[in-house]
Amino acid sequence: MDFSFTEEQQTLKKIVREFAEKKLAPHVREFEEKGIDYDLVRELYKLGVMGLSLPSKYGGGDTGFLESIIVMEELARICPAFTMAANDTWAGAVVVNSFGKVSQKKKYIIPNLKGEIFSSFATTEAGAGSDTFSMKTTIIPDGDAFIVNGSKAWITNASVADYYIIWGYTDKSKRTRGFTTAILDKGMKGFSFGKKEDLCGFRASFTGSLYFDNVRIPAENIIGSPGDGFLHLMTLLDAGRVAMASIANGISQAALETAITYVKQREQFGRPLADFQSIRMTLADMWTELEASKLISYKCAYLADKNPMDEELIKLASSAKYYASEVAMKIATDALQMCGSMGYSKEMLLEKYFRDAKFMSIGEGTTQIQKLILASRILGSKKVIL
Amino acid sequence: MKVIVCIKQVPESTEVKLDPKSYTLDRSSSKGIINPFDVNAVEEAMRITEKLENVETIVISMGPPSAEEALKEALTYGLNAAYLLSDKAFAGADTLATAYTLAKAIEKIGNYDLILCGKQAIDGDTAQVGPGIAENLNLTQVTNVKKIDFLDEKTLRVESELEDGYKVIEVKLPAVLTVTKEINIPRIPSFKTARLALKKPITKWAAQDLDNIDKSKIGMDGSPTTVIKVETPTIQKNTVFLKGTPSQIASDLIQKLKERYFI
Repeated sequence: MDFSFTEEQQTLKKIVREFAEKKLAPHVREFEEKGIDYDLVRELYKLGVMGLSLPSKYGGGDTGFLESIIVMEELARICPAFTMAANDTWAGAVVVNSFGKVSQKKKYIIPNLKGEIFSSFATTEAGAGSDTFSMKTTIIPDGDAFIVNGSKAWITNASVADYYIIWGYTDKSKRTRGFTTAILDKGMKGFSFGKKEDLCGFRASFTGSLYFDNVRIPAENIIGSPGDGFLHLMTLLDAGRVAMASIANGISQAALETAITYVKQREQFGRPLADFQSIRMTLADMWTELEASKLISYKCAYLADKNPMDEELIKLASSAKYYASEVAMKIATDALQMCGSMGYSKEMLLEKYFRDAKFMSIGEGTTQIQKLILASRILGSKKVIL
Repeated sequence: MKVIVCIKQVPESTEVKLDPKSYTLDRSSSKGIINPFDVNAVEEAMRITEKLENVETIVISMGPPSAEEALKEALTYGLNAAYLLSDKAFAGADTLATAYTLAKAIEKIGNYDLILCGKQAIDGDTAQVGPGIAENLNLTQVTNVKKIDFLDEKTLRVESELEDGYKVIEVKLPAVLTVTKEINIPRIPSFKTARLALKKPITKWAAQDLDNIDKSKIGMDGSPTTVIKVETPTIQKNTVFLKGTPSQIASDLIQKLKERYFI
């Protein structure tokens, strides 16, 4: 068992860190006010660090999943909202690559990985969060086309993306076999967007709603066959959970580094805070929990590369997601506490890490849902909980 | 056209330890990076490849085996090939011996048109190696260059920084230029280029690999510089209050500044 990054992975980490520190760090507060700058996302595509796990014939890097985790951890160490948005700009390409037709791959993946077009990935609805089966969006055949009706909520890159991977029922009576995956292009008649959501954390993210009012899409925009959607969703959920874990680990890393720097400098009662035993105990806990959290997500990458439908991966991806989220909240809280009033003020970024960390235990399946999935699998049940 | 870039691996931290006996840098105490001015030279070489056709770019460094890391990093910018001059016989070289050794290696590479160096290294701050290479190779040199324009494949117009302005010079190639930070903003290497770079071999040359080398001019033997002592300056605050009439105080102040060689 080799825990070290290869020379290539270390180089990737260095490149992304340099990008994040030089290009993102100076703008983090500005992003919170105005939203992220997508020109910087385009720069990431030029650097060749987006879509790494996709095939090189479409512009990807032919790498494993660990490389994407490295990219997300490094970006999230500086700006988690940017990271989630940037990652989602090619999440649609993963779906198209795994289940799409060659014509769809050429149309969407190639320009996507050049940074010319962006994707968005939409499952959640106002009445269907973790309870995905209560989804109301429909994708109904109509001659040589399909008609889409319904809406999606809390969607990253809403209105910014150029193509949207959405799920809806073609036949609700068939339950899991009635789900269909479709591609909607921005600008299609009847396809509109809601306002940008005003969030507690991840304020830089363009998160919003999608509305479908009799949107007529050609049959060529259906991914796979009608009714295949559930399989697509199941295959992709684990990667999404590990992606969120990586972002959470990036937040933890940032908060921990900030705390370490502060307690070495700040003096009270004639000595640095770092000399106090209670601070040292807490730092040791923070470091250990972050390390454990990273190792879980790295093991997920190892399993995903071997077999994305591995039973062990289903468990571990939920474990990675909920553990990293809770650790991020704890580390952000402890780091802020160590920095006292300074940590609580906008002079430092800890208050932002604190707000951002909270989202990690909510988005892409709450901590509670992840625990239910995990417990269900540990107990031997294969009951589907999305 | 062949462009050769000379780089040096320097300690990343400013808190570098010194060997108490030799007053040389204890390189084990800090992570090595490419000298920042040399990164500008690397970037400028890449920009030349983007402006002109058929440009071959080579990076070269003299140093301990760990300097290979700096060369690998330089290759991630997209340069074509790298050479490492590493040998115990080169150890302890001052700027004179370093310039001689690098010049011998450049001579062996041959057919060069342009040699780019950073204006100085951030550890020693001497700014002597670039000019030293030019002298050894009997080449034209311009230091502190902040802009390079190609008039044709063999003629450059460069801007060389002065304390209160800059001068414009036309240079016939081959030549050695040392560049400042103002010349460009180095790119962040693309991962695609970096992956290819990691597969490129680095040619390693020892003293015996260089042609017609005079061994009395390399390493410690070839280094007339003797560092007698290096110490961290201590900051002392001895405030002296001058008394008297304003003209008396002014005259005392001038006297004291002269005594301390400030004026």
